[in-house]
Amino acid sequence: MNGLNPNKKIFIIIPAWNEKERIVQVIANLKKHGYDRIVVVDDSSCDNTGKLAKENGAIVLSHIINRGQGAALQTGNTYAVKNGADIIVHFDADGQMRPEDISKMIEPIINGKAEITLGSRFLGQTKNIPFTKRYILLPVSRLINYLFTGLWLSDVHNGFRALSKEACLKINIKQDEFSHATEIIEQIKINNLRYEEVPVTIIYHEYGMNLFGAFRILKELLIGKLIR
Amino acid sequence: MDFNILQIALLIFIVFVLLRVLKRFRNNDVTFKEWLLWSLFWLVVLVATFLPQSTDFLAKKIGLETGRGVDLAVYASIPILFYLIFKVIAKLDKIQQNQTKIVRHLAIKNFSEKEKKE
Repeated sequence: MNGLNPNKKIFIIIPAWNEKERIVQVIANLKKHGYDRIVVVDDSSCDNTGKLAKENGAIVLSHIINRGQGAALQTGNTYAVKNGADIIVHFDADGQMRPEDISKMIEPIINGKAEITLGSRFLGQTKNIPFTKRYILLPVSRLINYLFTGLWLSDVHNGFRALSKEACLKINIKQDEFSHATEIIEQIKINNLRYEEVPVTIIYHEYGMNLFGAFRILKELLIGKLIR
Repeated sequence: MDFNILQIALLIFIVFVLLRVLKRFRNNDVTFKEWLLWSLFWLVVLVATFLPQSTDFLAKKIGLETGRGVDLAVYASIPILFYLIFKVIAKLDKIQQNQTKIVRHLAIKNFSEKEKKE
């Protein structure tokens, strides 16, 4: 069964690094909503994230050394495409995303309106966004994203996306760490992919990416631009 | 002829480097062209160490106001070092990308093999 679409092979890709606290619940929630092709890419966790995911019925791809979230997503993408995926969904391991939003994310792809959808916190009902994140970090991220990609989006870097198989084949994530989110948007523009932003709800348990993280993303993007 | 300590230290260092390059050439670690270029480079450094005035001529030709060869060496080394840093970063990036490809390939391969066994 694949959620609302039994005819489509939907793969949920979850990059995970030391997520033993939440991974079991995340998998269980996804299954409850009918998604059974759950691929957890264990990015060389020090805890038993991979083992727990496997015991709970996920396909676990294990990185023998830590390569970063972008690298883990690309591993999941490669696996899903090789195994006949029609739609690939990027989902977080920390329980901040809601499985009930997936059907909204994949709908434009199934209807042929879009080849890729991007979750947006600001079109949705996201609660508890920390003050500095909402009014400083996120607007600056949007601007940087626009400067690097040329696409002005309502949200960046929340990590909730759905891709058609064709879009997945065109997008090759080379930024191993967190700047992959900007890289994906850049590749949407380069490959002229039809995209849509979809309102989603993100539940914040903790602050997540901070200012230093944002600087690291900027550094990765600049180095990437300079040498590739 | 009087030599100062710096010149003697540099002489020892240059001889050491020349011998290392020669050894690497003999072991086929570097090509004949690379050996020749590196040897020539270090011989030029050797000449500049013991006859510093010989480089003044070049500095004047290039138009350095001070006309000192040592200044020319410092000015020339800055862009060269920047270029080398760029090359190292690019190489490092390439190595990391290849490393990721190997890790990815292994992750998928290991899973498929385990799946077959089970």
